[in-house]
Amino acid sequence: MKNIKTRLFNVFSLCITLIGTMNTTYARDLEDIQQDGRLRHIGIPYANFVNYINKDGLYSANGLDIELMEGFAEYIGVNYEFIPSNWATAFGQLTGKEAVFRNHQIEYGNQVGISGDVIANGVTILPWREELVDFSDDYFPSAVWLISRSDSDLHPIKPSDNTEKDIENVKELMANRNILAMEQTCLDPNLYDLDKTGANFILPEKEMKLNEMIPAILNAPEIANNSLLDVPDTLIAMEKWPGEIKVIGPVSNTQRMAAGFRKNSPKLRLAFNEYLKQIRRNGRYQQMVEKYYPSVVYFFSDYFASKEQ
Amino acid sequence: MKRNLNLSSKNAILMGGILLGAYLLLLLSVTNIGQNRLHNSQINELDLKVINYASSLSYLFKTVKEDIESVAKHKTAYTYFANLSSGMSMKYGLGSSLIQLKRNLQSHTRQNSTLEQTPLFDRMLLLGYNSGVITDTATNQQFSVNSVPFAQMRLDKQMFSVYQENNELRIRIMQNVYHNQELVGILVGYVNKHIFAEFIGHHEHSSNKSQLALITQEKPLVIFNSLTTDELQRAKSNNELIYFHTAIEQTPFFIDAWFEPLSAHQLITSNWFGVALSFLAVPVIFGLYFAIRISNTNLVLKTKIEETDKQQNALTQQNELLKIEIRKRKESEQELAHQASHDPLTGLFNRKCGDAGLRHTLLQAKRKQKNVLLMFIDLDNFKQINDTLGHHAGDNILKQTATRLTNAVRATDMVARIGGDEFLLVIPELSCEIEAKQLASKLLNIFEKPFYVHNTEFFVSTSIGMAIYPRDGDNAETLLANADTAMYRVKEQGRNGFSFYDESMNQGVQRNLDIDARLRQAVANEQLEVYYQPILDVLNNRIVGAEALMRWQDEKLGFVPPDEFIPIAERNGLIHKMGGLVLNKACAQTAKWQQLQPMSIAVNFSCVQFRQHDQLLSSIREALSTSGLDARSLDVEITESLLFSHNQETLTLLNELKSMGAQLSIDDFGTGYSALSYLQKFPFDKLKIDRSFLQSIQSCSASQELVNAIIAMAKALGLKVVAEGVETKWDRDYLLKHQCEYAQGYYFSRPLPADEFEKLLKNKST
Repeated sequence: MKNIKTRLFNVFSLCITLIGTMNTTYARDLEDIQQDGRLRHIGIPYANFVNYINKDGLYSANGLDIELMEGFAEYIGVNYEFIPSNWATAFGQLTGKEAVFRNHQIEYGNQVGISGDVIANGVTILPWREELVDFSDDYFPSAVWLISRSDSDLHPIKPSDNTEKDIENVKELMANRNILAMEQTCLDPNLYDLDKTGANFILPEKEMKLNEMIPAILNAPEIANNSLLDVPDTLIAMEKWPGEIKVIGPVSNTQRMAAGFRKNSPKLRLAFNEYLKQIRRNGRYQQMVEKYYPSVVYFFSDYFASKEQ
Repeated sequence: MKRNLNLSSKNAILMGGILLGAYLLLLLSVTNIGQNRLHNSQINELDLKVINYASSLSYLFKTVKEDIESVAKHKTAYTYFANLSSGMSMKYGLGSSLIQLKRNLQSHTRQNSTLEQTPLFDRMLLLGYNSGVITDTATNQQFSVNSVPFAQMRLDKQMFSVYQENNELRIRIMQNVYHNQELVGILVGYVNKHIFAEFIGHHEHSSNKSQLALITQEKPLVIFNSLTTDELQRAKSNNELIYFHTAIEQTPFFIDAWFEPLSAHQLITSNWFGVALSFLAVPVIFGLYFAIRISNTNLVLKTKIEETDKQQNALTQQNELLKIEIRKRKESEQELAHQASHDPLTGLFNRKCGDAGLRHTLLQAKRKQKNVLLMFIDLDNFKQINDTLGHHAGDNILKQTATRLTNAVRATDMVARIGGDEFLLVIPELSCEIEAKQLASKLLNIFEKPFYVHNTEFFVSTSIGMAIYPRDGDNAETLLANADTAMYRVKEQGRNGFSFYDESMNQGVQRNLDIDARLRQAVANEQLEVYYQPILDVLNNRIVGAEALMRWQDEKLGFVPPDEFIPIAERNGLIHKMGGLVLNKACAQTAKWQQLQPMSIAVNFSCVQFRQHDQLLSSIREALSTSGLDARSLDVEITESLLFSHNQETLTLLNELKSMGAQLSIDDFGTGYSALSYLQKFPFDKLKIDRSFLQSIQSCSASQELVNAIIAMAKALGLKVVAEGVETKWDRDYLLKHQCEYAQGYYFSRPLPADEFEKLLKNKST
């Protein structure tokens, strides 16, 4: 029985590898996409970057990145197509080879069929990700903060002029605290050397979405009163649960988000960068940001000011 | 008609004028009332309007209060203060809440682009309680925290305040913000002053002079103004404006409103309206007048045309009627002319026309020296036919006669009916007397053919009298009289013949006239006598009866035989009286003589008497009852001619007499028509053989045979036989031999006066 399963798995893997090889050899850069007439946008539901519902006959796909990619598709003269995804498969769908970041390193998976041309859902530019894809110019800032329930005995730090110092203050507060975190994302404690803080990071066994972090600490305080959370999600959470959570302070420096392209589709990436410059110039980009993250400018005024320039 | 129309048109104009005047008066009254009501209505309307404005402003301020309260309770405010209280820093998290809060404030001060609604506030800011400004939608404007009555706000959750800023009146509302039931901040909203004008000001129009102002404790805030300062001052001082001062509920404010009343230039005043209406009335009246006039003219014309048509129609009808009338009249005249000249029954010329025709013919004959024949034709026995068969039968015979006569003569000859059964023929240009005789014979011949009436055959003969011009007279009267005389001659001679007139005829006529006149006198003077000729039993020569005979001895005429005067009496009607006299005398005498000798008395009755059946019967009864004579002793003698012209009434009378017991005898048997059937039909007792048979009996065997036959027939029928005219013994013996029962005649006795007859009776009886 086990032999049969093994054999079947091997055959399946071989087929996938063959298909993946075929797809890998196929570049599909800007011209191919324009010839094909469609831009396939791989998006993982996240904050107000990608809101995706396809359930019980209800279909809805919107968000900052979806509007951004729709504009890009229009810019290069093709139709737009949204490809929903998750962090486990997203890179495989783009590059044809599955890859995850585990234990401080990339773990490559199987060859898979390429089903998208760009990943864009508030993807933070991280070094391991840069090994898998080429990022466009960044278009959104982020950071990771420590969030607590409002009834927590943790008190928000008093901010200083120095972010590094603020981070240190927060890390000091984290000792012996149960803190919710999540690998494969920007909330991976490994990214910020948090294992030295003495905090007890709770990584959910079951894969969670980032917007499910706050409900987790609100509904199950016995597991964790605190959570790492990126700024975009924090801003949303504060509106959703006013008075129920509080921001203790920063865990990371300012991060940047960008769209990820296959490394063999540089023309497409360059085209996107051109498009980005254009909408920054004509104000469209500003409108999009204010639409989906009205208060983010307050926190990253330096970032947006520099980009305006 | 025309005058009536004129009058009615005048009335119509008058009525129209009155109606129009009334209409204008009504219009003016209604206008005046309407204007007063309009004025009142304007005040009411304005009052209502101002109340409405106040209500609207009250609603507006209520909305303002609710709006700022909703901002104070908004999630963003709560989030901000919650995050603030949780100790979050602006840098890490709280800044986001502040931005959200500010965005919410801004949403209440920015015009909603979708709804195009003017925001209620033009500035809104949040103050920390007893601290500084947290956020402000107008960061470029100054704000004095000191102007906020913090202490007062602890008492009032919400408060309006009015203050002047840069010489401009601002109304703001302050609203407490609580977090966990603790006063943490105050929201200050600056009420957008444009909202007032937008809310109520646009209901006013610049052409309507008015001013609306919101009255605050500081100074009025003018919302709408279309009055200049001078106008306002002047009007206010002259109290010319309608003014309202109304409180705005649930606010410390009032609304003042000034309106200019409806002025002369806005309203059509009564005077102007009156003048306009009066001016309007002029063409209307003229129009009405001309309309009525035209209408009247049309009406008159129309009426005239209709009248003419009617008259035309009436005339046409009248013409038709006249034509019909004329035709009828012509026909009537023709008919009258025809009737005037013609006999309606026969269609022949009547007497008058016949007379005229005769005269005309005579004139022509005189000029031409020609002869003219006059024929006077009378139908024999026509009177009997008429009486017995009725007038219809008589008329029928007359018509047939006319047809026969007309057909018998030439077209140039004239046939006229001049009396009942008398016809006149005028034959011009008669050549000779022979021609007249031929014509008369021809006429007699045409009457030999029978007449048919009701399928019954009749024979009618005629008597024709003729006179010839110029021989028998030179004028119509003479000729007619002579022809009539000749005709009577024929009648006298036994009828059914013709006769020419001669001079001697006139003499006979004269005697008849004399007899007629004298007879009347004699009857009146009872100068007629009754003679009695005895009737004897042949067997024993015994007198069994007598026949009463009339005898007239006139002083002038001498003895006039009965044959001569009785026909005249029959013609002139004296016969009835004469018959009555004879009957009465005979009955009375016979009754007297019954004592000497039982006998019967035979009395002759004329046919003329029998025409009056009832009168005759009653006179017989009266005679019998007066005289006391037994009816069985009365022997009623009648001639055969009566039987010929008999009718049912005659038969009834005879049966009556028979039933009374009277005897009936048929006189002069054998001389007339002698229809044997009569003997069987009528109840006769006796038969009297005419004397003419006895006169020649001795020499003529034929007479003997006739007498024998008569006696034999009478015997066979059970009748007694009386022989008249027995003059010789031979006669008496012959009769005896042949068993004739009774006889009378000169052989036995001539007719005797009563006294002599009485003597004879006495002698015989002795």
